[in-house]
Amino acid sequence: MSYILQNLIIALNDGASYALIALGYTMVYGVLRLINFAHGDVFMIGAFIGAYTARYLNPPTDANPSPDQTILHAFLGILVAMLVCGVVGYLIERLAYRPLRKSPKLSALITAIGVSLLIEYLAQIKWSIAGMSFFGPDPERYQPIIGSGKSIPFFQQHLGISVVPKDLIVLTATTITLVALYVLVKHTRMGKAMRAVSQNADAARLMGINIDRTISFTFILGSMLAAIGGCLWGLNRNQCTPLMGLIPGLKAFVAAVIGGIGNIPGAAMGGLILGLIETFVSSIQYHNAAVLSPYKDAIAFIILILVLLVKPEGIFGKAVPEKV
Amino acid sequence: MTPRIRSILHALGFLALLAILYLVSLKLDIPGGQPGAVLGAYGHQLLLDIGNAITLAVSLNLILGIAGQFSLGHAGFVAAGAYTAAMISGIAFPPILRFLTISPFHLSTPVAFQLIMILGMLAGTLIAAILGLLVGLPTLRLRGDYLAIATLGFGEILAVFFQNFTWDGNHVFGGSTGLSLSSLRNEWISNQPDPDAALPAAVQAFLDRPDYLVGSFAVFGVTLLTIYIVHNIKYATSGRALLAIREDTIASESVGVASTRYKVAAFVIGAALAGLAGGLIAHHKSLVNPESFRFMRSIEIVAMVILGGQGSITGSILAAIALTLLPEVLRSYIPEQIMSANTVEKWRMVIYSLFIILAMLFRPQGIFGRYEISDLFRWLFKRTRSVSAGPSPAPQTGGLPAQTTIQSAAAQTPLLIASNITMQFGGLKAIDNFSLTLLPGELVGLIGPNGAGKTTAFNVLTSVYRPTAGQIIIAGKPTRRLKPHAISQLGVARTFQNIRLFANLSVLDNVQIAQHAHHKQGIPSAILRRPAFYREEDESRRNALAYLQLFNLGHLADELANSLSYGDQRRLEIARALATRPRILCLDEPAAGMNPTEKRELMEMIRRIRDQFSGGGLTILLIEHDMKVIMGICERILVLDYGKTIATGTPEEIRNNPAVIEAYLGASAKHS
Repeated sequence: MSYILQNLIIALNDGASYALIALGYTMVYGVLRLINFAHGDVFMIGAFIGAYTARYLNPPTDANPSPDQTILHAFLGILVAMLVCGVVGYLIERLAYRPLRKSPKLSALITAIGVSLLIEYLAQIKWSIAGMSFFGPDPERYQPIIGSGKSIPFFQQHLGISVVPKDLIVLTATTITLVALYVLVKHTRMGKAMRAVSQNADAARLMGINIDRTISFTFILGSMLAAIGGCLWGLNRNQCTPLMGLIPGLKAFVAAVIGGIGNIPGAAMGGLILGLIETFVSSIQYHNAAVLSPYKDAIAFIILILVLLVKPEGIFGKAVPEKV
Repeated sequence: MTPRIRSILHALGFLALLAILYLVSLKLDIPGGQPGAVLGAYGHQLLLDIGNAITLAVSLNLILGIAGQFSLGHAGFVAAGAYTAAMISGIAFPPILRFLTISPFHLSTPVAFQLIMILGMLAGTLIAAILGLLVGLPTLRLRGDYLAIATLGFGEILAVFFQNFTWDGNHVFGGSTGLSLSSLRNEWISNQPDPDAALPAAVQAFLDRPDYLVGSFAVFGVTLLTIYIVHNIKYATSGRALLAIREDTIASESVGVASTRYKVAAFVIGAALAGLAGGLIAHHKSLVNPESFRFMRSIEIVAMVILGGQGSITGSILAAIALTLLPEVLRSYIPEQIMSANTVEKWRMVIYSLFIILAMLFRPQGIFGRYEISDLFRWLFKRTRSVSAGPSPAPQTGGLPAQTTIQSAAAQTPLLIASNITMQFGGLKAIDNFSLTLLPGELVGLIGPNGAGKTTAFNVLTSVYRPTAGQIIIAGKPTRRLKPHAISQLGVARTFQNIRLFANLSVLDNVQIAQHAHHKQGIPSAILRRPAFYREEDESRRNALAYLQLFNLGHLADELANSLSYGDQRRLEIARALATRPRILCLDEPAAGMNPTEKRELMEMIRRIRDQFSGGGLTILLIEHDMKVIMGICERILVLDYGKTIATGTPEEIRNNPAVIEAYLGASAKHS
């Protein structure tokens, strides 16, 4: 029992990150029918900005070269990261994708891949601005929240599992974000516009919806979610690297497909499902060894192919017959 | 430009290019680690990289460009070929060597070495082809982005597998460090050829040269082979079928193209060629590691194809050269004194990615678009068109392929029997208990208000949709399990309500594709270009032109289908349908958007088609809104309303049927 619960905690943690990134993929796909390959890199930028905010607010000293931050600072870090990523997301859409909206889909996809590469390699170069260095090939430390790494006695005593405060922080923050997003999409004018554009962009335009603004808004919103995901990832693992967005980005896309691409609640559920399956499959023991755990990165794609073959529209998606 | 002239132009262009690359690479190939040979060896390696890049780009172009199937896992096939070749030349090497050097074969060691290498590369090709089949069969059902993601997933799974697969605690494929072939290679080179081996001099000379097997000769040989195969597939029945699938899969099925089979064939051939290139890469790099075949490698190959232009072999070649050279050129322009080598490397990649983005922004269709080098020649020497632009001769059936005539005994056997068909979408019964029997030579009309289910009935009859209930028998065969292309081959042709031509192909190609099912020369024959292939190609071209003449479209043969006027597009679609040599022709609102004069001409044309084709026995099923058209030419009419058949009969009976009047004019019309 405790084994299952312990894995559940890990699964929920991973799943929460996948869900937050997957939402950005799914929303952008919904309005633009484009796989935004650069999304995982926006997630990476978010993590770095969160780390730099902490470094600015709570600079390391000689006495304490690796300090921990307060929860308020961590929250501020997330806000700054959201702001920066929102701008980055807006710029990507405005400069790289908008000119290609009427072009063949493949060209847009190649551009997306180009943007992704561009961000990844720019982030591998060390930038020095005003005596401070940013990015570069070496991992950057993400300050943990004070005391967030100590196991909580309550869970240890009653359930026999190790739960640390940062697990709870990640889960709470993700839940709040998802609820806020739900309200935004379902109950605001902009949310309604987004849903309309993803149903039928031309019809939405005829109804007086400003398509350009809606798409920009979707990118900004998706990028902000990625920023939250990146900061939570950093708080959890206390480190960020220029290529950290690559694998989580691809897996989050898998999560979006599992949930039915374009389907917002589906993406969140897809993320959680992916986290669960990944954790439990890689913890399967055979002769006292987790034989499948080296294949953890492949599991997501095997699930992806299975889902696509059995129900290509995703678990929560609806099949749309092609009109002839 | 005839197919032969085009082939010659292409052969000259591609051969000249490859010959230049090959000769330069030979010039740079300075053997042995002499001082000062660094640049030469470096340049040599770069040219081999270019050769392999061309092979990979052109082989992916067959899948992505010509067949239009977005595969993001091409590097997976390269990896499969490379690992297989490495395993056979490495692990499986000693036993095979022993086997080849013992009594019945008695091969000298170096000869046996080379045979094993060849064996390894061929095995790699085969494994990649099998993987292509295993991946292609299920995933090619998926559309667009989904296929892209599935193939991406496949590539990643393969990379993770090669990196982590262990047996008895050992990494079988060398883990993340990979497999090294250098020891094998050194051993091989240090072994001098055995002069006593009883081999013909030419064979011996071939085997003596390492570069013949894995060096420039082999690399550019494989490149040439790849270009040759892909080119010959493209300019043949098979290539037109693939292009048609790319343009519009449903329309391609409707003219008898077995789209799944073609997609899988393209996938397997592309994968096999990538596997062959993989074996070569393994040998000349002497190292196979999982990192070099991941997602990024696939992306590089995709970028080459898109940048060159989807479907353009010339474009793929040029883009492969450009994108392989670009990082190297950048390297020489950024002085290493300013920043560390590692940072320079990153800057190169920054410029590389910027180049890709800008290239896409300013030329989304790729450098060459859909053109080839021969189009460049044509553009340079603009000559008068081969097809005369003068007034086209009076339409006639002369020159058309022999029509099957109906025996009088068969004349009363129904061609098509649909009984109690129901088609349900969720809660909506689009057609409900629909029955229809078509006799040879009948002209039947299907009418009804908007949303009555007329087009759905067509889609069910042609197997585009599988009915929820009911049975359809065409020419004595139940069609429940048949795909749309099989229906077309049974003799049912159709047009579409919202015209579905192969928009970016020529008018002539559109009609040639429709003769698909009647062509006997398949992909092997296209690759080998046997005389029978050219005969069939010429005949198909002649036939297609005859069909075009019949509809006054002959002078437009070389134009793109989407550049035609609306009326011409409608006529072209009918010509295309007729080119499948059908026994039943289904026309879906052919008069839509036409003015009264055009409608009269259309009625005239439909009658003429019925009388001239299939020995006067062509059955025509016509969906139409316009009562004048329907009443004027149909012998029998079915009226649908909300999916239900509310009336059948002659035009006279239908005109006076109260249920029909009510459906069309509303209930009040009865009382007025």
